[in-house]
Amino acid sequence: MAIIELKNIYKKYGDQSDVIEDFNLSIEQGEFVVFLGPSGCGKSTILRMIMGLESITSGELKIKGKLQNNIPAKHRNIAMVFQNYALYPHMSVFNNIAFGLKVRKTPRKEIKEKVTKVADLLNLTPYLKRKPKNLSGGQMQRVALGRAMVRDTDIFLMDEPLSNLDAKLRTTMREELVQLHRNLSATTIFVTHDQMEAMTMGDKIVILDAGKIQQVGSPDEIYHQPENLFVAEFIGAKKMNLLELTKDERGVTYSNQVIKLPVFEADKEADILGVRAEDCRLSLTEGYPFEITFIEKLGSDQYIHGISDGEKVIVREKPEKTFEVGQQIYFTINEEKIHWFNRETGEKVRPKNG
Amino acid sequence: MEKATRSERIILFLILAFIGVFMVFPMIWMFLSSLKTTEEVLGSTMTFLPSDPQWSNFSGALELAPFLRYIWNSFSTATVIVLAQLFLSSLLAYALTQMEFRGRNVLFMIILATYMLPAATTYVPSYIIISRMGLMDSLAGVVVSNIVDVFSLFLLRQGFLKVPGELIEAARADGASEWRILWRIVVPTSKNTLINAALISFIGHFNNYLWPSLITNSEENFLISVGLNRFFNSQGAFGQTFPLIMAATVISILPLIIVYFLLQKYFIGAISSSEGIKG
Repeated sequence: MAIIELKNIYKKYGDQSDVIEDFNLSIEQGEFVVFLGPSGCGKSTILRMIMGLESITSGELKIKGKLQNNIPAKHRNIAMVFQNYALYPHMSVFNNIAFGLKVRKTPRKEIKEKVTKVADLLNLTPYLKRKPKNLSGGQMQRVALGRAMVRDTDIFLMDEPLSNLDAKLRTTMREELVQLHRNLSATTIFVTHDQMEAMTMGDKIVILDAGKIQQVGSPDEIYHQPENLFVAEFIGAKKMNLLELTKDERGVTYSNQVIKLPVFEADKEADILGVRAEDCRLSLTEGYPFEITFIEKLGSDQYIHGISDGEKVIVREKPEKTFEVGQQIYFTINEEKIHWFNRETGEKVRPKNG
Repeated sequence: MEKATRSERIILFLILAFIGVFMVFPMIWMFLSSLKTTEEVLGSTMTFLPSDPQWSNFSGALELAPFLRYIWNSFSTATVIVLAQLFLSSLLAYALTQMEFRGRNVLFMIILATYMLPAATTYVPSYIIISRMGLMDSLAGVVVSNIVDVFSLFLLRQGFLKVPGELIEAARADGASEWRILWRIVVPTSKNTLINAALISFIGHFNNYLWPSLITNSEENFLISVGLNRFFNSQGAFGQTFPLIMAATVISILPLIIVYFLLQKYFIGAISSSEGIKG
């Protein structure tokens, strides 16, 4: 059964246009869901609506089957971790973690037990008496997490909790969070604009842009089967190469060479060919023209950037091959890995039976 | 900013030192005068230091009027007023900053508008209200007529606006009621603002003269400012008791000086936070 259900959710501020438009999603018990999108896409707004910090203009929010629209945040019994941690500056680490329990009139002894347990789990025991200002970023982050964990709830909301940490710490915390989720098996919604975070942590990724869901799927699905141009360009260390096709008497062409199109579903037409850098190869003799503009060596691989018929194209190659900037060569495409799109709708065009 | 050269700093220091001495001199003069004899104060040759410090002037002044009583009256009423003001202003400032309701800004504008009213125009209506409440000539009257203060409300509102919204949201997510958020989160994080407001208000009410003088009549209810003034006027031969008056004045400002030394670091904040507002 879905633990959180969002149905036709809209959000509007004053007379402005919709910030969130017709948002529909259902989240299962125990899932780790990541909301991913560029800043301003509305991902935090949805999270804050689930928490009850933001009103819902229209639509239905149900948690465990109960309508939540008008229930204030304090009665929703959801724990939230904020981007800037939002630690209470005048309270010790212990009191920060204990606050939510004190509010709920938990007996003293129980508070002590629970806080001690959580602090132990997060390696915060030596810092319990410190004030937040005397903690490092990573420690503050743990306290914020501890404050959520200590609560007797099975829904966690996290609003870009790792974005203020340095790169190394972020990777460690990412692993710890996944581990934690596995142990607690609490339903978690994690908001981020970092696709690495999304891909490594999420069971289910919800990609948002301009207040609308672009695609919902597992990390594999959104990488290998992008539903539209936005997802194709947004996901991946390198955005997908998109080649504009033209039509003439010979059929559909790219760079004056005929492209063999599959048979599409009825009434659908494709005019953009998408292919990932790893599904292209460079060749000295055949393929589409390619002029190398920049070489990005990553050790294990190299990305060769180039211009092909006016379009920017990136090809991944093995590190041992040598190329030179300015070289005029060719590139080929693995035809099985092509994605077809329609420019006008931005949607993926599916081949029949494909 | 460029670093001042040595000579520039010396000049700056001299100017500030001069202004400082200029400002503090009346107080020093008051203190020295309180230790002089009447002849020394009014004699044709002016002396700076008392030739023979007359410490007895202080006990003399205390015998002539119940100054300690006045100081206690001022101190206790100012304390109660400050506590009540902070309590009420906190409630209102919280609503004005953290709660969303229709007409919130209009309400704030109306409250601010009352601050533009010259205090003197409120004396007559306030006088009538206090008298109908049966609080004339009582310290309770002084307290009740002062427990609401627009200025401290304004200061607290500005302070509460600086509390990060995430903190309040985190507390709401933690399940805290608005009442608890106010006293456990907002007030402690705005501690400096509250101390500033308390100091400004305390000094104002400790020194308050005109309004208390209108509603208090009997000696036992005089505030120090009122008592001091009556003392001036009642000592007919003004010249004869000048050192005693000075001694009484020194006694009267003593509590404030103690407060100043204890809370020095907050005073700068209090003054800079109110500058440009109190004019």
